[in-house]
Amino acid sequence: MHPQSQLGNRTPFVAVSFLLPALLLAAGLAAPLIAGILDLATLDSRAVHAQSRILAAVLSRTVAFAAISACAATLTAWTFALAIDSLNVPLRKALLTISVIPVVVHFLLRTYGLHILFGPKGPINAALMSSGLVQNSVPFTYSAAGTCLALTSWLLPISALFMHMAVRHVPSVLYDAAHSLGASPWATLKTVSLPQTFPAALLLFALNFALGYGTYLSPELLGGLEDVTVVRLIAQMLREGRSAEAAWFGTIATAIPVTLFVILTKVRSLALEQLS
Amino acid sequence: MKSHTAQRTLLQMAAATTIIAGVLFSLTPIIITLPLAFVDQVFLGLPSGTLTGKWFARLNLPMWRQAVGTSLLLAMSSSAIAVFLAALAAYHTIIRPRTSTSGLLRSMIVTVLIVPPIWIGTGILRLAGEDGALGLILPHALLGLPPAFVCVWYGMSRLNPELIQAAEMLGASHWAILTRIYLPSIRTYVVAALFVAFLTSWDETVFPLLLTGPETHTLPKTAFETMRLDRDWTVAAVNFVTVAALSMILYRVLKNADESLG
Repeated sequence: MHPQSQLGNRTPFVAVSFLLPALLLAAGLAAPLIAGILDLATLDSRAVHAQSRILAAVLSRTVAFAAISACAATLTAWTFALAIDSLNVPLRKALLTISVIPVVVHFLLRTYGLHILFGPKGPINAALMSSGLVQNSVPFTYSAAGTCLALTSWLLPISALFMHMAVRHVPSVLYDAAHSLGASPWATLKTVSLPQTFPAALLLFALNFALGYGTYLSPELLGGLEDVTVVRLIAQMLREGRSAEAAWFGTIATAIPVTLFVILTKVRSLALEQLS
Repeated sequence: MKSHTAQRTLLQMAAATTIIAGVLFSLTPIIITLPLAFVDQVFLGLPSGTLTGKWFARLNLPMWRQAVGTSLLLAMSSSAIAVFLAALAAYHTIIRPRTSTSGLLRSMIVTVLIVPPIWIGTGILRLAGEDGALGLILPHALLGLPPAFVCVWYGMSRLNPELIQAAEMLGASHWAILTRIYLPSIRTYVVAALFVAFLTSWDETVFPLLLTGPETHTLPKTAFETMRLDRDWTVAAVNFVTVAALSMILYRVLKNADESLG
């Protein structure tokens, strides 16, 4: 950790290094709050009350989609990072590059790729039907499954990179100690690799949840008509000119990922304390 | 020892299965869509039909030219702003790690990362209204700031503190320390920050859909709208060119980052 700088605390540059980024960040975060306050007077409370059940259903559905996708992406990335860590350096680098390549492909195309792959006439359904596992095509697209698939696919590349960094940070002395004590590969995994990388996995889950919760394209392109998420609903409200409702509902909905993130980072801090 | 060998084999098999599944899940959708830039097909399905260069030719249409140009301008300018501000914020949190200003900066950066972009967009739309492409630069920079900050901060935190102490003792100012020691020493992380901020803007769909009128075209917006109306695979042609360029940059960034991790 870097020591506190010995240069003057009150130099203009220190103030500028805080003020410039803070100004942009504060403006971005304050804008929807101010909009919500300005529009509060025009908000039709009876209309909101009448829709409260729909809004609650949308919120719980979005939480479920985000949780499932974040869990799938985090677990896959965690396993992937642990798996490639045991490989030789060139192979590890190649696999890491391959796993991260999707981030450079436009997300719209990736989603359409999933659509083709998992669609009713796609190769996955064709393989399932020809193997006799299912009689009719499985509705992977325009469904809840489609939303989760698209979200997981979107979250996975960055998750793999994140967990790779976490796995590479485990002190090698711990593996050496486990090896010299005669620990089996499974015991080393259970007592060194997993506990050491658990705090990072927890943080990744929290981030993935928030990102999955707030994304627009995947649920819009691969979700069904019944699978409206928070962001799709806000977009619909804005299209219909219901900006007051959009601002109000957006603020309520935003509290969920923020609260979950705060709770999970506290749990992560406790896990880190236990490790040290 | 025998059980150790059996366990190792089992774990290796599990590892191989995970790697293959992960790579297939990540790459197959891309492998399917890349050839769509070269086939005469207007439906959503596996690439088939005759070879054509028409999607590349459509890039000459004014709408697509404007979309690519606007997106490039937006991504370059917003990523430059995002990385500049991220470097300032990272420097501030590194030199004043336990102050309330650093805590506030970190909290705001994390908050921007985890709140839905559409919520921020709702506020900007209400207060600033619909604007042209220029009105998107700061919102895009805002979205690019958190990932850029992570890259730059990570690079700065790994730098030998003695370098900074030596510079301070020799009378270097904060500006000199940032621009002549930190940034040149963490070039890889600065490039990575530019890269992620560029991609964040390049892929951003919500802000252009929400904050611009029908006469403003950005690549994600145009691609989203044309794909919905008539399966126009011009986006696949654009993508083919950008994937080739960005993959090379990504490979260099990952290679350098991995080497610096040991």
